[in-house]
Amino acid sequence: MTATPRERDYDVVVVGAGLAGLVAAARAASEGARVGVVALASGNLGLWSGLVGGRPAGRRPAGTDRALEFFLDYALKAGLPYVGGSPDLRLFSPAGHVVQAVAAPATMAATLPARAARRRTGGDGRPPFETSGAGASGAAATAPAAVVVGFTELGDYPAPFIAETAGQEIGLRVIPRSLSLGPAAGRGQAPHLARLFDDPAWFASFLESASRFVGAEARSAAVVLFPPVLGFERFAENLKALRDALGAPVYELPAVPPSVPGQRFWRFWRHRLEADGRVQLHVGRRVTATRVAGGRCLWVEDGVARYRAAAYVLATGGVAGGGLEVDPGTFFRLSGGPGEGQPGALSGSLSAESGDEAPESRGGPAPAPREPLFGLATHGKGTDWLTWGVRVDGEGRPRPARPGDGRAGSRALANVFAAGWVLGCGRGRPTGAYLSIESGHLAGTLAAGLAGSGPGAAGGGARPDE
Amino acid sequence: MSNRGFAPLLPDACVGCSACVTACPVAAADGTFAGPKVLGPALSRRLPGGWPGEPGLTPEDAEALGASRCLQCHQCDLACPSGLSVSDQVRRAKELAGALPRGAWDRFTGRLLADQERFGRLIAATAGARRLARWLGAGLGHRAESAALKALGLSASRSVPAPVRWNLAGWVAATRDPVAERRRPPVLLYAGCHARFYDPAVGRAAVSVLRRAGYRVIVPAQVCCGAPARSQGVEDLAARAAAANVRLLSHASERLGGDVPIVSPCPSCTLALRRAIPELAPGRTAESLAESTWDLGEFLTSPARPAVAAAARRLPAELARERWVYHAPCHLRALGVGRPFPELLQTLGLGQPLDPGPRGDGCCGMGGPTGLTRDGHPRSLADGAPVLEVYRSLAAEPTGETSEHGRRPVALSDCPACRWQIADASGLPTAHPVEFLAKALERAD
Repeated sequence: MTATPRERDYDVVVVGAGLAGLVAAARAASEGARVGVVALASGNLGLWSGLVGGRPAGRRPAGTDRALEFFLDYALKAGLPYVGGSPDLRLFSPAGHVVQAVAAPATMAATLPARAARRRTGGDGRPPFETSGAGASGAAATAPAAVVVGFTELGDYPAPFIAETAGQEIGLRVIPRSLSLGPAAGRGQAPHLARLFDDPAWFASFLESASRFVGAEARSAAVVLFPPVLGFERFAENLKALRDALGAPVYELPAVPPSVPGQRFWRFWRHRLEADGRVQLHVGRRVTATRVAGGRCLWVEDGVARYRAAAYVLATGGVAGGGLEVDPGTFFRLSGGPGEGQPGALSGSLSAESGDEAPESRGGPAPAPREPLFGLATHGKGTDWLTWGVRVDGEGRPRPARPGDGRAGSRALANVFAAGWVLGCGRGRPTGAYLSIESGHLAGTLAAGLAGSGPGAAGGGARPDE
Repeated sequence: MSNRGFAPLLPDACVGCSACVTACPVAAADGTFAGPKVLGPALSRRLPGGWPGEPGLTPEDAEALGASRCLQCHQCDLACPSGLSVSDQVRRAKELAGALPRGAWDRFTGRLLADQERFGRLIAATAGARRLARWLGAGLGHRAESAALKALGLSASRSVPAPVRWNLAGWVAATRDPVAERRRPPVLLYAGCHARFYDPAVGRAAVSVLRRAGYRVIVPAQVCCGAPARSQGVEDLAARAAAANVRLLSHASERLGGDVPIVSPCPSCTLALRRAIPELAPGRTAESLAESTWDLGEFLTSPARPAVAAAARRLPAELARERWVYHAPCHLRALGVGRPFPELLQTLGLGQPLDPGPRGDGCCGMGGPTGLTRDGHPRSLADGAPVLEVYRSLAAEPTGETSEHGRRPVALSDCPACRWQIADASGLPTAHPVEFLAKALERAD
């Protein structure tokens, strides 16, 4: 007698719970599919600033970017509104540089003061924010365009450095202001500060001292920027209170990890996905095996349970970023140039057991020899590993590896769709968060379609098996 | 080699990204806690068994960094992009902090609380005395209980479970139907200390649902899973419990033909059986027990699903109106089985789920028996503050017949510690989801 097999059946199984995986799961679920997400962790969301960048210029005409529209809609539903679409936003990066973003959390979507505006405003050569003050020219000369507020306890957030860079970038006066949060800040770790900001009583006292401290100068500034730790949950209320108290537009700046906005995203999207009841998250599970036969994926396994679905989304993260395991020796050869495109480079977490559908041998004496599952392609000429991704067809279906065959001729897996960084990126292609959103949306749509769970076939909830 | 799907100990794979820190409920609540990154991978070279030549971490260092504050909720493990078992490393620091010299009485009470088998028996043994004290007068009973709790280093403002009058294993044996059950597939119910010592109703509900799904339920001899001991850093007690359970459960399984599914309504027990016991009592037997162990919700929604769905065909309409709010325990998340019960209840159309929102969807702060202690109780309220605030506001909603909502919602959670915390903090009625399901199925008959 063998142990009862631990199997789960879904319409769509998404491997990976980073941005691409969550977008794919949300999309497939909104198309009526029952979705299982199997993931080691929350991808790089803990490192993510929250900004969505990486859409190539002219990629989508304004208003027709369905992936982005879906993302903005779902983010609103999840309680974490994003602002974006068209035109691109101009925002400060964590280092104070001006960057383009397709979308940003509503807490960060500041309108930056710009020199272009100065040229539009008048010919006297003075920035509008300095001339449009209270009218007193003496005070106007010192009014800053932006105030970058830092917290003394938050060592990872160098407000003076950010302000200096930002000022050079926009050619206007940007000043730093440093506030102490007092003994409650403890070791000054970002998550702890975010929790402090979620405490209404503590925030009331903070608000008082903040408006006293940055008040006078903030009132004349075009924008006041705070570190992105204004609460895990109460960030919207807190921002509104700060705006009212300071009488100026207040926003968060993106920051380096540990990133509260990334953690917010994980919490809010995870909650929305689970609360809808159509998505089960299996997090902390490393996919260790899969079975591919007849050009289709039959199941994936995490060492404990086996997950079956009509369609699979491969959202495992970058080829060399830990998403797909790469044999170190082979990887160095791969990035060294000669031998690039060698499909044998991939092994490990998503390699397949060789052989056809054979009797199950879990817990058996020796694991079957493992063979690389996917072919690799590069989207750039160089040896930059970011350009490497799995070889896919036009709909994002990975093509299997054939040892010794580097050409893109072999048939793609019929029910697998790749999304996110596993695709790699390159010049003229989407990158970063936008790559994850666009490809996650496409993969979720196609996977749900293949599972026959489009809007018409939605049925009612999970089917209680036969 | 398969690590049963759980993360390995490879501290060098830590890139210092701090994802674990953002996921840690204690690091968020307590500014003095150094957090999982520092206490785990960063210091692991200086822990016993770490790199040779590195200066060893002293118990005082570990304590100063707040090691004993770790709740062993495992949320750091789920956040780590490198797939590290951060919590295992933090547990070693916690163990080290536990080696600080303490008074004899403190050491005794600390070990007693870590040893739920002894603690549970103590609670059970005093049941008669507690009943007598209550009978003599509510005030007297309360005073006597408070004094006893204080002496044991426990919080006197925690609710104490009412004395239990019946024994789960005895009830199961008395109510079985030997003739009908002969051909049914057997299931071993690992009830857990809470169901055995404090609240057998959860165990009874699990038995009731499993029997309706066509299983023969056996409650085998068992001891505490050792999770409370291990999470307090009392490794020797945990190892002893693991060895005993391996012996008892494998014996029970073999008598029934081997590889019998072991099902537990408690996610912490399930996690211990699947993950900790094979580490503490290594060997093929423990591995195969781990493979046979199921979370109750996982079992009911996976192999037993068709039978449960069939049993739930004629559900009484009045239950469809009952409102519930589900709290996912940290250890259920750590099992990676999804959230089986809310999905099952929703699919069966049982009651109306309320959404606690992202704020109410986190750690309740209890941390197992830690939240029962005098120092641990206020800390647990701080760690779980956002979640508990949501449950308090749910409890404060207007109730009674005049309210549009009707009755107060019931807070459902698989974990006894979470239920205890939510009930104490909010006053909401709480239940294990299987109790809700059992009530529905019993009325459907």
